[in-house]
Amino acid sequence: MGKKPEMSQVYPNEFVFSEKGGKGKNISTFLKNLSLTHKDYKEVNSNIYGSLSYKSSLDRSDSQSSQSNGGSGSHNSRPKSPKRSISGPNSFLSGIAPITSHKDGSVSPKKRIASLKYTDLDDDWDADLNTNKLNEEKDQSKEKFKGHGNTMKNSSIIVDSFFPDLSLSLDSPKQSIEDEDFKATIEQNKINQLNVKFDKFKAILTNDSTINIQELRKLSWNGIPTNLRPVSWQILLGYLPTNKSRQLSTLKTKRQEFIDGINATSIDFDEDGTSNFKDNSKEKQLYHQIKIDVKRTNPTIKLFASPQVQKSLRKILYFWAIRHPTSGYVQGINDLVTPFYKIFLGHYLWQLQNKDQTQLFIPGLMDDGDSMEQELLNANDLINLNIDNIDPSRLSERVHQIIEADSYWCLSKLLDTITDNYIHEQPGILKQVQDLKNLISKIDIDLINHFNSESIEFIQFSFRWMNCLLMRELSIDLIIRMWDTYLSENPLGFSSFHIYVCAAFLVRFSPQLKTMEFQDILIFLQNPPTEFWTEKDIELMLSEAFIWSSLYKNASAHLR
Amino acid sequence: MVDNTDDYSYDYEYLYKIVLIGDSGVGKSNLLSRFTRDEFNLESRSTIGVEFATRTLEIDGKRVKAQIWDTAGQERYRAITSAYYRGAVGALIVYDISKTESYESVSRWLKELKEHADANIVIELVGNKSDLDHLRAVPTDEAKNFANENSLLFTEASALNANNVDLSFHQLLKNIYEMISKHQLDNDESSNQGPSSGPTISLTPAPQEKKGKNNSNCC
Repeated sequence: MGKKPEMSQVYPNEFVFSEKGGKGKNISTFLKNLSLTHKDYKEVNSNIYGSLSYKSSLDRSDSQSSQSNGGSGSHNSRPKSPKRSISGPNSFLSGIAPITSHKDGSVSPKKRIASLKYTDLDDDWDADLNTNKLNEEKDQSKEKFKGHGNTMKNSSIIVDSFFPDLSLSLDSPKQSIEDEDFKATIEQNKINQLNVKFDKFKAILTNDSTINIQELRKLSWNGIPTNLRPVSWQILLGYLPTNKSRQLSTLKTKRQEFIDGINATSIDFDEDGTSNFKDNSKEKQLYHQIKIDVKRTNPTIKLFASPQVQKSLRKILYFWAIRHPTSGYVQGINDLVTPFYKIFLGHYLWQLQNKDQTQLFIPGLMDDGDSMEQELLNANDLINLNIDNIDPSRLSERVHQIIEADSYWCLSKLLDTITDNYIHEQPGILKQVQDLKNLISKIDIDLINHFNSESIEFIQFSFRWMNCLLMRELSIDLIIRMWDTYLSENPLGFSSFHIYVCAAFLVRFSPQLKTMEFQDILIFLQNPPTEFWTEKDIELMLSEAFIWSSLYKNASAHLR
Repeated sequence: MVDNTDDYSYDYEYLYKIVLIGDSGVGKSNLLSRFTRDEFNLESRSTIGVEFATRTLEIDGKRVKAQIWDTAGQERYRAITSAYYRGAVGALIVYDISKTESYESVSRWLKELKEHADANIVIELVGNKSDLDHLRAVPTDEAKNFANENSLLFTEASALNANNVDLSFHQLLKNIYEMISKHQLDNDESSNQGPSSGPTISLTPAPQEKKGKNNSNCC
């Protein structure tokens, strides 16, 4: 006795954990195998840095857009930037300094991780994987990185170490910025940037009678402007049709389908609604589970503490569960509905406040005949209403139903891409956990070795990352930003791209983790220190993930 | 990183793996946080998969470290969580004294343990939420009798007001300690383990942490 700490070991399910995965190669070796030259990954690197503008915000003053689709080649000289003036709230520049495009030859076409096959025994199961959508995805990856050329100086850092170095550059410029004018310029440029971005999205959403989803996708990778997010997400998910003449009628049908479905359950969805069920029936158990989980869904956010909102969530989750009996309701799905609910409710308020922007509205949300809506429109505080201060009881039942229906359908669309995560034995998640481990063994073999010596199993900490898509680790607003990118990667954003994001997330803590022992590692990873994270941290992670997905996707060998 | 520094500042002589099981919403996670960190969170989110915490305490003058795995209660997670039963020397089956259903599930949880855990595992039945006495749906005597019939330890506790929480964990750990000591003794007497000797509960004296004895545990 006494060689191995038996107690601290977890004995995994045989079918998943038996792994003989070879040791990963050092990444630079790996790059060679991919026949990336030093110059190539210089370029890759500069893309990461560039896209995030971690360096001086001064850099953002460039708005010369080489955003044109062909990409501007790998070399970029920074255009001179004259001071730009702000031309009203809608002018501006997005992340648009010159694009550093991926050199086409360096990364062969994306290879998608094959979805796990699962034979569904349930006729009712309507959530087939959209495998046929895979192909249309292929061409979208190249242009994602809109790099700013100025960051080239970082590019000599070898890929192995980009993480720590990136974090160094998170700080604001070292140069003195006492100059108030300088600060003002930065401010202006920020606003400009946002306005230009808004205009670009607006153009895509309004110019043609059919929305160019490829363009929208491309643009969404780097984040969607808040007010255009709801409509963009609905399109990216395939809920709102791209053909505008069909939008209103489609949504009407879908919303009615939801409302009819809810009515057919003849449940009132009140807090103590279990009395509607037969004792010990499956439905009663299901409702009970949903009820106790809704109560503890984002409990610290005021909106989700509202009785109306909780009732809405119960409806959405219950209806989803009975329509998808093979998986049914699984804890964690309650988290996944909240981003939709939050942004759709916010969008309604935005519509009330911006009645002139109808061409950017999700259709059918406002209705002149709705007296509660009229009250809101005439309310003194209308202009100040937002998602954080709105009392949901001021919205009519009609509006609640629409938001519920839209959230329901969007949740369904999302879950359709990760069905294997929630069926019996959760094979999708187990595969993802394994894939993450294999990926880390390529990226950070030292971390794997350390985990091995401490008897850490990936399932112990990353199960939840997969099951809740990092929603337990990151704030809802950061998650929403992250989903812009995931939806741009649809339908693989929430499955395979997520693994690369998880890898970036884990590697970020690698230096600390390597100094810790078994229990400290687990306790640390159960509650990773992300409370002060901003969108920059997320974008950094997404960029890392993208690089890795480009580097490793072709070399599918790492997935076994 | 972890506030309970004195738990980590000493080495320990025994490490016991414990699992915490029971229906969703009965308060497993709060029992654990009360025991390991003296915290209670009314707004805690559901446990996904398995979570982990430890506490070291003294039993019979020996430092015993409890490594506790808190599991998700929902049925769907059973495949994942039952993998954690193996190697466990103790289990707390938790129910909510104000929810009959959660008590009725206890026999199902017992069965789970029989199927997946070591035969010698020490099991304690814990009726949580004893602060909700006015809503009580499960009589104490009934649960106590059930525990006796099935050779389980038994307590009622409240993670909310901390009543009996330490006691229930102590009681379990002490029983494990005694059981293992006895087992160890038996094994020593009959020296070589013939085919007849039952499954051995592994007694793991201060394992991998030995090497890190002098490391400070803060980071």
